[in-house]
Amino acid sequence: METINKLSSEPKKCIQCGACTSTCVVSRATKRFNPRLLVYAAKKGLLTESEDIWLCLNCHICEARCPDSVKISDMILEARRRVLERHGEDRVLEFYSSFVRALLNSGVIAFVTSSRVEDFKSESGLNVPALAEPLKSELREFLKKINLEVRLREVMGIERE
Amino acid sequence: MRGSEERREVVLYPGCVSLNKYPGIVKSSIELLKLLNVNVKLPTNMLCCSRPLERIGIIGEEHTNALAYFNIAKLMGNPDEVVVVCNGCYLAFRRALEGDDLKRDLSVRAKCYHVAEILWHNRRELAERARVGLDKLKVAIHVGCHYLFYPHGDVIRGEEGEDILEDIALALNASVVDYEERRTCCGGTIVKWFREVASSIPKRKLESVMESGANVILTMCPYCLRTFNRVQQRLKKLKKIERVVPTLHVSQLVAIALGLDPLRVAGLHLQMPAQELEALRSLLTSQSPP
Repeated sequence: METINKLSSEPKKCIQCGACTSTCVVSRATKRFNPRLLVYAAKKGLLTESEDIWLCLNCHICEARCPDSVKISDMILEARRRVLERHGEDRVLEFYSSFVRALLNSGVIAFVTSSRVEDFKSESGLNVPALAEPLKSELREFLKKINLEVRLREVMGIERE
Repeated sequence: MRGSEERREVVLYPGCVSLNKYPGIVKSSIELLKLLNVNVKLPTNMLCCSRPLERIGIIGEEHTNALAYFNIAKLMGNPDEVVVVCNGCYLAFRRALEGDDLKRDLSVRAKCYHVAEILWHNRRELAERARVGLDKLKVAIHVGCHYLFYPHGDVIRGEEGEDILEDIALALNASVVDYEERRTCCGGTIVKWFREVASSIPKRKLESVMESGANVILTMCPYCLRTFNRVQQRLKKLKKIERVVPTLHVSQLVAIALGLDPLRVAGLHLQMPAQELEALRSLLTSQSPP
């Protein structure tokens, strides 16, 4: 049976009352998403088998409404991480590798795309620079120390640049 | 954190979305903190809080925490207080600052506040300085899930109203409208490949806002602001809605109320078309200076 680290006891707390599903905005938008059934799948060790884990907004309203505060969103995030570790979701690579590259190369994931914004930032003294050497090297060393550089490259399939 | 006679110093962490898409949020926050006798510094360099990558499952909580320590220790100079303008950054930093060994290694000791919390603590003093009347504003509040439902540490609930944003809006004499979808998610965090669901969630919320008669949406999260802006502009283009309800960050609303320039400080022209900006400005009334 799949164990979910520090969250392994969470599914056992669930009484299958459905408060999570009744309050979930994704469940209202699409019948296929049902947090109650995802917790049930987690109880059976099958959460990582469900494609529906990718529909969660991670808004945590289900946890706020759950009578026993079962960490449903956190369990889903952990399941996503496990799926990515075994390279089980190509769409993440397709849609998000540019974010990871951006983080590794410049430190940010959202960029200025308008000259008006650029001008406003300059006039307002808001030009906080992107990461540059030697901080960039220091960050890479730090990422190695916390085993993140390897994870980013392995999970996302990004070659060293 | 209240403003005080003794000048205090904070580092304002601007966040990627606000700095590079809506810098008026950052500028407004800085100007308001200065008015509250707070000396504001910015980080030497920008490094994302990494919460968006954690949300997808690309990195883990331990990595987000570690990057928060790097941010605070190396790029902010290990200050005593960090102020953020975004719920995602707030969650990332607050959770990290609950502590671990790495935090001790890097001598991180900071406390983290959302700028909305500071404005809330000082709302009465700020209201006394107001120079622009907001009494024609009907405000639909959207606090944002990562402050409402995933708190780390003591998040503030409302005293006069339901939440801190309502308290601030009421202090500035705006009226707050209730709407059915007030506490639901903006839908902005959905993974990119579920396009149909991605548009139906904010659409339902925005329809509820419009039915309430609101003429402005007030939030404390630049990411939610971006979702409301993008979805409304798309729906308008498709002729599925007749009007757009402008969305303001709480720092922008307070800045405008205090008479700071809606363009040069709040940067509203960067987040709404001229016609909508004019419509919003027509709702603002002059007040005699205090």
